[in-house]
Amino acid sequence: MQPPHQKRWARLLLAAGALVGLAWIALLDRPNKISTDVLDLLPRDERSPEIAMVRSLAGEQQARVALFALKFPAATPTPTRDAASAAFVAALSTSPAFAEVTRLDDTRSRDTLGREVFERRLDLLFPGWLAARRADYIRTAPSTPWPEWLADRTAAELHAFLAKPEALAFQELLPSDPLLLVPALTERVSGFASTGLAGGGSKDVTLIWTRTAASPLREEGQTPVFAAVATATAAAQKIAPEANLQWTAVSRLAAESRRRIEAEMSGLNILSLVAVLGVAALCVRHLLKALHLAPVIFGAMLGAWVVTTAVFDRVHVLVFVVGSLLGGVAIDYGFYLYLQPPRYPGEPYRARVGRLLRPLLASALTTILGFSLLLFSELPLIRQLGVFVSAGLLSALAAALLWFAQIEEPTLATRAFIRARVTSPGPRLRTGARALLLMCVAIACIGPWRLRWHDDIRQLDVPAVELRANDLAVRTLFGDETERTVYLTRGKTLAEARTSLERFITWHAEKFPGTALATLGLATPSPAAWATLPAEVPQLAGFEPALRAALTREGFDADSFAPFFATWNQWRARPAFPAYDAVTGGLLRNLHGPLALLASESPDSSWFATLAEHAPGAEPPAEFSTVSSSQLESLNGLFTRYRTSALHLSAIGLSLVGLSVFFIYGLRRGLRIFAVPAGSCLLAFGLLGFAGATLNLFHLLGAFLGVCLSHNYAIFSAENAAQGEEPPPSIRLSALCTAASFGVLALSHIPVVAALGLTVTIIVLCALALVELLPLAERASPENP
Amino acid sequence: MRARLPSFFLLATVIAVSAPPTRAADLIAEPGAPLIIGENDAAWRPLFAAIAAQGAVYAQFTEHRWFAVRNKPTELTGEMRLSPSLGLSLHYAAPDDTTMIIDEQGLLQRFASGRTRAAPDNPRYTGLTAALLPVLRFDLPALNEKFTIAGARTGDVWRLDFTPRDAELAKTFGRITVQGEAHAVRRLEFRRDAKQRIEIFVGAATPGASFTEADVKKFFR
Repeated sequence: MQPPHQKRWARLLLAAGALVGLAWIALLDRPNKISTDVLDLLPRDERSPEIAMVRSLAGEQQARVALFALKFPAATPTPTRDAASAAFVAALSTSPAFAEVTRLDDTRSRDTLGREVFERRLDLLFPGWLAARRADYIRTAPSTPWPEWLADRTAAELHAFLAKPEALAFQELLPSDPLLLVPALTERVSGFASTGLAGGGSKDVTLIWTRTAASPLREEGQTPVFAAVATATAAAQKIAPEANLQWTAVSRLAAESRRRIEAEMSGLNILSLVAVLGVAALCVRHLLKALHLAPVIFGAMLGAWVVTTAVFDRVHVLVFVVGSLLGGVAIDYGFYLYLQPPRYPGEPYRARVGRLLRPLLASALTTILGFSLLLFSELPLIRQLGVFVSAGLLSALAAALLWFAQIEEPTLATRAFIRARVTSPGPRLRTGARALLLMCVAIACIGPWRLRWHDDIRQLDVPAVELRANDLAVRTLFGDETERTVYLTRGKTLAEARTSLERFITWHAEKFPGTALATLGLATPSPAAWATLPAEVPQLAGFEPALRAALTREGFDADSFAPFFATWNQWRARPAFPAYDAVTGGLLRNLHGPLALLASESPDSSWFATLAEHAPGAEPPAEFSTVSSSQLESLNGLFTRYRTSALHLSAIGLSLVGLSVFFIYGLRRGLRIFAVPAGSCLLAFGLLGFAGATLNLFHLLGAFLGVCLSHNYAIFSAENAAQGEEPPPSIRLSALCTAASFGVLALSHIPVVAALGLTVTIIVLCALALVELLPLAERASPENP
Repeated sequence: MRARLPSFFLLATVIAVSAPPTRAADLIAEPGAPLIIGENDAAWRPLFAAIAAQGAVYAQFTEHRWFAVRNKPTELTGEMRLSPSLGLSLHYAAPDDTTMIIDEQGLLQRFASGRTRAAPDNPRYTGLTAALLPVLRFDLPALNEKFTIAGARTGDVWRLDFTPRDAELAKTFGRITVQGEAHAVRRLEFRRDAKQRIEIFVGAATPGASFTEADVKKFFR
C-alpha cells in the first residue's frame, strides 16, 4: 500500500502539470504557431544562394503563379468560346485574390518588351556587339583601321544573314538595324519560343496566366483563390456549359499537402497507439492494467508540445508528425517501472524507484543529452525535433514516476513467453549465437560502405501524385514540355547578377557545347561592356562613312539604311551615357505577366533566369552565383550540408553519451554497454546497404534516435547482469513496442517520416537481437559449463 | 519581331511547293482573269487534279530573295521533297545547310547539327500553316476558301495567282504566284512588292518519287 501523502503529492503534481499543459495547448494560436510552409524548415538567416533564390521565388514570383487552361469541345463556336474565356478572365481580374490576370495569347506585354528592346537597341545590345568585335580585332591585329575593319565585317555579316531563313522575317527591320542587333538577340533567345512565353496554344483551349495576391503557402493565398476560381468557372460555364477547367498552382499543392499531413498525423498517431497497445496486450497478463501506461505517453506528448511551442515562434507540422513516434519511446519508462517485479513482497514503491533510478536516469539523461545537442543544428526542423524529443522524454520520465507513485499496485505481470530465457545454453546454441554475431559483424563492417546518400526537400512532403500529374499536364499546355534546364543567376545588384550571368554563359558553352541557351540577360549589356562605351564611341567617328562604303561594295543600297544612320548619329551625339542600372533596370522593371519570371530586380537582390535546351546535368560552380531549378527543387546540395552538420552533431552527441556511460559504469562495463547501440546502428546501416537503400538526413536522425533507445536496453541489461539477474522483460516489451510504433511510421506516405521509422525499427530490433544473443554467445562459466 | 518568324517559315514552305523547270522568258508575265469556282474553273480542274495526283515529288531548286536594301538577289540552292502524307521538306544546301519542314504539325527548322526549332503551337502560326497547306496540295476547293485566285493560260504554259482573303495573311505574304508548263511547276513567287519578293525556280522534278527510310528520318519530322 502506498503512503497517502505520496499519493496526494503525486496526484497534485500530475493534475497541475496536466492542467497547465492543456490550458497552454487550448490557448495556443495554432494557425500562426504551426506552419506547413516548407521554407520554415530552413534557417531564416541561411546565406546559401539557393535559399535566397527559393525565398525570393516562393515569396514574390514563381510560387504565386497560377496557370489555367479553359478547354472547350471542338464543336463550340468561336464567339461562345471567346465570350466564356472573357467572362472567366473578367471574374478572376475582379477578385482581390488575384494581382494579375493575363491571357497567354495576349501579346501586348511581349510586344511592348520587343518594342522597347528595339528602340533602345544601341544602349542595350550595341555594347555587347561592339565588345565582341573589339576583342576579335585585338586578337587578329589586322592592318585595317578599326572603323573600316568594323564596317567591312558588319556589311559581310549582313550579306551572310540574308541567306538565313530568319532574314525574311526581319527584312523590314534591316534599314534600321544593319548591325543585326535585334535579329541576333532573337536568335539567341529562340529557346523562349518553345515555352509559354511565345503565347498561344490550341484553338480549343484558352490559356490564362495569373499571379495571386498572397503567398500560396499561407491561408490567405489558398481559400480566397479557390473561391475566385470557382466563381470564374461558373461564369464561363454559364456561357459555355461544356467548358472544362484544368488548372495548377502552388496553393493547390500546398493545401493538399497540408490536408494530407494532417491526415497522416491523426492516422499515424492512432495506428501507433494501437500498435503499442497491441504489443502490450500480447505480452502482459492484464490488459486493463496496461492502460496505466497510457498516462505516461500522454504526459510525454503534452510536455513535448508545451515546451516546443513555448520555445519556438513557429513550429513546422512535420515536427509533430515525426514527434508522434515519441509514444513508442516514452512508454519505455513505464515499462521499466511497471514491469519490474518487487524484490520482496510488499517492497515499497520508493525502494523500487531507488534501485531503478540510476539506470532510469542514465538512460533518460544520456538520451536527452544527445538530443539536446541537436539544438545546435543549422536546420530549424532538427532543432525543434531535438527539443520535442528531449522535453517529451523528460516529461515521460516524470509522468511515469508520478503516475505509478499514486496507484496501489504498481506492478504489471508479463506473460511467460516474454520472460522466457535460456539460462544454460548448450555448445550448439552457443556456436549458433556466435555464428550469428559474426555474420552481424560482417554485415556491419561491409554494408555501410555500400550506402548511397541523397537529400531532397520534396521528401518532406506527401507526394500528391494526381495533382503533380495535373500540374505537368497544364504546364505542357503552356509549352513547358521539352526537356530543358532552368538556371537562376543571382547578385546583390543588377550589375553583379549580369556579370555572373556573363561568366555562367561562358561556362555553360564549354560544359554543354552546341546547346541553345536563352535569357533576357542577353538583352542587357554587361557592366564591363557598358563601362567601355564612353571611351569606345569617340573612336567610331569614321564608322558611318566606312559602313556606307562597305555596304555599297557588298551590293547594298547604302541610302536605304538612312533610318539607322539617323539613330546612330543621334545616339553618339548625346552628352553623357546614363548609369548602368538606369539602362538595364529600366527594361526589367516593366516586365509583366510571364515575362516577369525571366528576371527580377529588387533592392536586396536581382536575378536572371536562363533556359537551356538540355536535361539537368552538371551544376555550375558556386562562384557563378547560379543554380539550376532541379537543385532549387531538391535543395540536395544544401541538405547534404545539413546532413553533414547533423552527422557531426550526432557524432559529438554519441561521444557524450558514451563518455557518460563510461563515467557512470566504468570503462569495461561502459564499453560493453556502448557496444550494443553502436553495433546495432552499424548493423542496421549494413542491412540497408546490402538492400541497396539510398539514405537521407532523416535516416541519420532515425539512427541517432535508435542508438539512444538501444542504449537504454544495454543499460538495463547490464544493470541486471551486475546484480546477477536476467535481463528484465521490459527490454523485450520496450523493443517490441518501439518497433511496432516506428514500424507504423515506416508506412507513412511522407518519405522522410518513413525513412525515420524504418531506421529506428531496424536499429531497435538489431539491438534486441544483440542483447539476446550476447549472453548466449558468452564463454560458459566453470560453474555453469 | 517574333510574329514574323512564322511568316518566313511559311514562305520557305510555299517555296517548296513549287516544282519544275525554269525558262522565265517562256512564262506568262501578267496575272490572268479571276478564277471563280463554279463559273470558269472547269478548264483548270484537270490541271489541278493532275498536279495533285503526282504523289511524292523530288526536285532541286534555286531561290532568289529580293530585299529592299539590296540591289541584287541573294541566291540559295537546295532540294525539295514533297510527300502527300509527310508534308514538304526544303533542304537548303547553300549557303547554310538547313532543312525546313512543313506538315500537319506546323513548321520545323532542322539544323545541320541535328538541332531542331519548331514554330510555337500558336493559332497565329498554325493558321498560316493551314492556309498554305492547300497550296502544297493543289487542293482547289480549299484554296478557294483561303485565296482569291486568278489564272492565265497560253497553250501548255499557265500561271496562277493566289491572294489571301485574310487581310493579315495578305499583308504578310502579298501575292503568291505559281507558274508552270503542262503538269510541271516551274516558278513560284511570293511578292510583297517589287523590292521584297522571293522567286523559286524549280529544276527537273521527279514526280512519284519514293523516299527511303533514311530520307524520311532526315528530311521530315
